[in-house]
Amino acid sequence: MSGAARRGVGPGSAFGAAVLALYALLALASLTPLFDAALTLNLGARLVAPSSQHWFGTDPLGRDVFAMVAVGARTSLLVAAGAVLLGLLLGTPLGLVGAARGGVAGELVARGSDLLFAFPALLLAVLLSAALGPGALTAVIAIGVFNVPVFARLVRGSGQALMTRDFVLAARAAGRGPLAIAFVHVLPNLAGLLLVQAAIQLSLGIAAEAGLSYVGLGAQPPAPSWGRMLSDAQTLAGVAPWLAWFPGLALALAVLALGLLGDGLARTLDPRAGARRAP
Amino acid sequence: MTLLAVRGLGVTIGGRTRLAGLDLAVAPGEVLGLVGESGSGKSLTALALAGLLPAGAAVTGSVRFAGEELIGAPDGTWCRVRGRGVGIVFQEPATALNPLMTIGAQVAETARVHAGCSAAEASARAAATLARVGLPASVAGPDRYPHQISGGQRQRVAIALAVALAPRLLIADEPTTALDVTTQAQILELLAGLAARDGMALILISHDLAVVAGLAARIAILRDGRIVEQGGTRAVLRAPAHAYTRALVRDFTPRPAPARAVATAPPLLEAEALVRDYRMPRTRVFDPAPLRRAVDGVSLTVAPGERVGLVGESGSGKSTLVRALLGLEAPQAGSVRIAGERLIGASRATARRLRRLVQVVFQDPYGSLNPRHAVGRIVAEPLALLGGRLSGAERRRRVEAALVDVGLAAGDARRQPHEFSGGERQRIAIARALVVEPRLVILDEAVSALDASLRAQILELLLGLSAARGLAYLFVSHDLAVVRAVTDRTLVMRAGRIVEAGLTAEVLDRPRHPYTQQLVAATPSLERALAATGR
Repeated sequence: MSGAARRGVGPGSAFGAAVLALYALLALASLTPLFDAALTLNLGARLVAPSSQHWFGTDPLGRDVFAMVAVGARTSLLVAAGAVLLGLLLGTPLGLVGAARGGVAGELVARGSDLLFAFPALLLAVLLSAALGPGALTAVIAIGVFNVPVFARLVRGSGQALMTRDFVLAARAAGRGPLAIAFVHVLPNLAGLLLVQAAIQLSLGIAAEAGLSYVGLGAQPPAPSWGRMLSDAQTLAGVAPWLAWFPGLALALAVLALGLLGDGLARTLDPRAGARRAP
Repeated sequence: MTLLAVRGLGVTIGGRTRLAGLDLAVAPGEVLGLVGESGSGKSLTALALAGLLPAGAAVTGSVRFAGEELIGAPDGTWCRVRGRGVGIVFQEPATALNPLMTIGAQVAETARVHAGCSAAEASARAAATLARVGLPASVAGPDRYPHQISGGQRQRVAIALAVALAPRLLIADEPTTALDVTTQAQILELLAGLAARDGMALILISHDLAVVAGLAARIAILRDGRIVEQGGTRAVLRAPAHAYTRALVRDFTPRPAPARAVATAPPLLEAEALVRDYRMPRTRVFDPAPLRRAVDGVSLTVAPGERVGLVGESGSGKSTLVRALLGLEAPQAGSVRIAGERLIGASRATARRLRRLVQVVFQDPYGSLNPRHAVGRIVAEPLALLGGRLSGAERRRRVEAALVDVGLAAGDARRQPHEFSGGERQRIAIARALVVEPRLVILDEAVSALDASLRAQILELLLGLSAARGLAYLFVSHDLAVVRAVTDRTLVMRAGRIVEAGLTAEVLDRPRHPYTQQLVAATPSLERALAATGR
């Protein structure tokens, strides 16, 4: 039995996983026709305060805020997950090549990552939306591009450390080439690390997506998104404060939950984290 | 009068009993040896006696130090006892010191915290303590950082930290295991001197019977958290009462290999004037990076079926040489020939064919197996050297045959490495080397990480395999006794060069080069220690 299984998961990561599951459920539920009705304009029920009819109240167009938050969860999760996937799929192989090849290729990966990190993320998003037009896909690409160097660096750094281990030396003595070693020997040993980083990037991605739609570069109307709901709520904050509360809470909770999940996973997967000495 | 009296000490961690019913007594100025294999609870005993057990450890029994009961005592009592009463030295000097503090400041800190003296007084005391452990300012000033001094000197600093307050008892947990034999001899001399001169009692914990026998008047043998036997060192080791002690003593000194004639044949492995340089970190921005010559013009041959030893201390260039011989690192000059063909610069197909003939087993059975792969996959890896022509069934057959050859079961192929003990893991590593039926196996410290009993089993396995298949070995080790047990011929390496070569018995019994003489003299011998008079 592995150490991770014996230690189990902590309360933080359990909470994080539960919240994430709740959001996923909400996002799935938002696909049902029930939500379509709640999202149609209903000028008779404008700016209704939270009640048993409308749990989170309604917006100036009479749409149900709860339904909008649920659909927003779908957008947020999809965009952030797409961005993480983009980062994983491009960054991991780049990092592996960097770790395996060293020399010029390794330096290219490392310095390329540095270069990308030096770019202000929002600026690139503006450039991209100017080129591709604003929308969810643009957001995925804009956020995903910044996940590439994160994963590339992580994989390169940890991969280099693994490359010096004896089992890699043994594989070389067995005639394996550097790329085969990178994918067959190094990558499986990085799976835990990648999982943790993915959870952290997912939380950052959700925040970034909200930021992009807040300035109008994310998912376009009428598709609801947390960032634009917050931006729309600004002018009405005095009249209908619930318009800001609920998407704001949903966003904060999502980021917190994924952060906790990432931390918990890191602790569960790191065998050194458990041992502590008495004073 | 006893200084330390331990009665029925037991330690339970996470529901597992790790120590049970330990009885020990140490008189002032006495040296007690505590011997056991890995996992026997040696280090845990040291931690328990110093009150440094991990949180969640349940302790029972009694530990009385100078008449004061320590089990269940408040933290304040422990803090007073640690430092002034009991000093402790651990195995790894590299991690025992703070890398960001000078050695003088570290020793002074102990003096200031515990003795409450002024900063000036503390640094004077630190300098005196460092001089006492053989580090006067002329050798390594107190303003040096840990990375600026050698491993042996670091261990001296760790000892200085432990003895700065002149404790009445020093616990040394494998204090010389991470050191070379010549350094080990110096540290042991230092410990013996401290005990004799200051009347300090010493508990010396080690897996090495010869080290303990050379220093300790009394010895306790620990196994699975229990003491199986204790008494006068010579009485216990000369006439062990317990079967376990008998096995420990028997396995400790491997039987020398009988001399045998190896037929002269064209060499299987031939290295000529190999040179391998490493680039060191630049010392100044625009200067060229300085080079360090790790392997300096080494030539050697291994004939088919011959068993050749390569002896040297850490940093002598043994492992670099091994990697160059395997073609894993390109040398700057010289050539490596396998069965007469050049390995360096060979085409991929040729390199594959030659690599098949020479396989390798590394030191660390935990690091050399990929923890994410099943045993069958690990062992099958070199089969790629045979080209992709093997069928799945054939691969499986070869893997299973290799596992059986090294004393494992065919079914072990489906298990994961972490299910195996260190000795079994080393068998897996040997099976991986054997699966392509090589003619030479390079064993790089392949038994150095193993306990004596496992080491004896692996040596027996290696000798059997060599005899049955005419397998040649290049046996790299720092351990002269093991080299003597396996090899026909021995090369002695120092600072990248081969300084002496010849038949093993001749090199080790009548060494000609001063370095070899020094090496042989510094190597602790159980026989010599027990024969020494005075105890």
